[in-house]
Amino acid sequence: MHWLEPLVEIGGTGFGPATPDDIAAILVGTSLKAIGKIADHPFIALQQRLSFARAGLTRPLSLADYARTGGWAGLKRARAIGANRLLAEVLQSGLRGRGGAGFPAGTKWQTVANAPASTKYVVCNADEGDSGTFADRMMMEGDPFQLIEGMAIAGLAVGAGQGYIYVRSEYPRAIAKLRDAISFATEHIAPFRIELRVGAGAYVCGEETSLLNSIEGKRGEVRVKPPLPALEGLFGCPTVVNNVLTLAAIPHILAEGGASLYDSLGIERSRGTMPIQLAGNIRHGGLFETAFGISLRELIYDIGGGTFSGRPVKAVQVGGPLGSYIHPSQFDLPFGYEAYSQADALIGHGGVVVFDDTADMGAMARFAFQFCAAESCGKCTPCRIGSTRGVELIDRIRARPSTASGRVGAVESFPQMHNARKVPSTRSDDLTLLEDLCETMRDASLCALGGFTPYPVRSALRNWPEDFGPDFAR
Amino acid sequence: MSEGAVAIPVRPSACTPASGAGQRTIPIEALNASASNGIACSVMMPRPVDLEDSVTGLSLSDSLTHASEIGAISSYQVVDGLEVVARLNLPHGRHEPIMEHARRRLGDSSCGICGIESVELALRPLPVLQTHSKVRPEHIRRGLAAMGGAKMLVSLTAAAHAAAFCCEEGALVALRGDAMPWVSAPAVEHVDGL
Repeated sequence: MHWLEPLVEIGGTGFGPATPDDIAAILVGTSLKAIGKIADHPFIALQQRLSFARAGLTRPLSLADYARTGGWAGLKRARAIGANRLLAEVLQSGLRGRGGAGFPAGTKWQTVANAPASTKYVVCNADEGDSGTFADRMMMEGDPFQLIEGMAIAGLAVGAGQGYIYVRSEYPRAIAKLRDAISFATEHIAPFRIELRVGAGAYVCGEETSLLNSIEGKRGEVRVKPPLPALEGLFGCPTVVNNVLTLAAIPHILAEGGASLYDSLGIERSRGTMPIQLAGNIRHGGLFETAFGISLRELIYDIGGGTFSGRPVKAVQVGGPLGSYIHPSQFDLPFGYEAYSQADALIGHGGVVVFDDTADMGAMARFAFQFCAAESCGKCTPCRIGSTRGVELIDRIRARPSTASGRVGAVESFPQMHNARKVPSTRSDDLTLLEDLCETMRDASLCALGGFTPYPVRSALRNWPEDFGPDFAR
Repeated sequence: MSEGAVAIPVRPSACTPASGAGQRTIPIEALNASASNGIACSVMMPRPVDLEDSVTGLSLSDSLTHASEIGAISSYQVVDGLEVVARLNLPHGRHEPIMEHARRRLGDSSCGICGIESVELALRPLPVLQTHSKVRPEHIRRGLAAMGGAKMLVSLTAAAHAAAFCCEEGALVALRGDAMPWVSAPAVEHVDGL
């Protein structure tokens, strides 16, 4: 509900966006900024809040508030039923990793639980780096104990005594809240312990193996998989690496009947609720938690109110800077892992960024490569070199009309470039080369940074070819 | 500008748009096949300006011949003008080892080491030198320091190796901004026994 902030709440009634000058009128009940009961506001009333049920209603660092609203019940029950039943319930819930890859959480936990090792770890990935995403931050700032409880349950399930939360340094308030929450919760989660680690701004450290390297004090560089972190993760020990939202969903699943409730929501193999983040050029942005299955049309027009600029929506990028650009003709796509995957898109961490008709999609395709070049860890060639070649290629395609031929590049004319073509390339040649580059990056990159960069590029080219040159033929 | 290298305009970074145009120097290299007595010996990628050194150096480091036996090296361009074949004629007595070298080769072309069938053969024990003086660490350091000041192509392009022949005390005898064998050629006139 960002457009209503600063939002004043008195006895459940909201006033926003409020300024100091509004205070007198708010107190005597004559303010024109009254929005009625917040709980009845369409942006809240239409949500199905499980993970964020408490956020905004309780004091985030109050153990009393947390316990009064059902806190620690999941952990208590988990201790009572034991690791095996606990694992079975997480599997039954159908919970999938909310970080982006959507790997079934129960399966990952089972792998770690079965791995023979005396030391195991639970790592929470709170390096929320995708554009237009803020759900992890809202969870850590609004209901940190829930995340801590989820981690303690994960520790119980897999036999880990130690957990780490890796938070990005750009979240100072979340870091401060977590520090306090961890210290307040010590007795509740003991013997499980949690430590906080703060990142230093690298996007790639949101990738689980880079993140593990970073926690270990090494360069934030991707590791080759296998071995999976579930078998050889932090300090070489079996490790559960889950996103904030995945772990925060756990206490609900472990509550009495929670797993079947969770499984009853959603579509296909996308079960439960997803905290969707509406951002970019949108009138009513904010966090909207709902069951899987909602369409982009509902999200953007009914809930989001269209663009902030009032202009027509041109494109929506779902799943962060490396997600596909979705054309308005696809807005009936139901929000879920399978449906998006079939449409050559991804839901990622649930970030939805809206663009109006002034957006230059050719420039956005170039930006995807540019972003990859800036953030690449440099370990694998497709990502490190491919991203830079991609920027050059898009520039070349956009710089000249389809009919005129280009010139042979200085490098291509060198004798050592034995296999490079020695005649000028046409736009069609460059498009074939771009497709080839995208395929190489998708299939041969070590991690999703290089592997997903082709999504925004290809979708922009497919849906808005006219943005790649004035005479571009579809 | 170093001989055998050209400067081209480049974008210094793909991720910082405002960084403006820059320049980078690239060594010019070309495919070179060398043939001794009509038998193809190697295919390498030297700089054309180093062609004679590369062919001579490779023949010496592969123990195919003695420096004094290498006569004139003729070279001519093939097909599209991008590849060069270099030919040298060695005395009759050198023919047999070259044939043997070629016969044991697994592929159609090779650099010095590819003519050897396995890593074990490549790393076989070599004859022990009976007479040589001990090289001291400070001599190696002196040699490296001398190279650092002289390796023009490497510092200019950051895209080439450098190899040097040094005397026992570490003073530079010859330096080439490319692969190891190349440097044997200019070192010949200074080092006995090559």
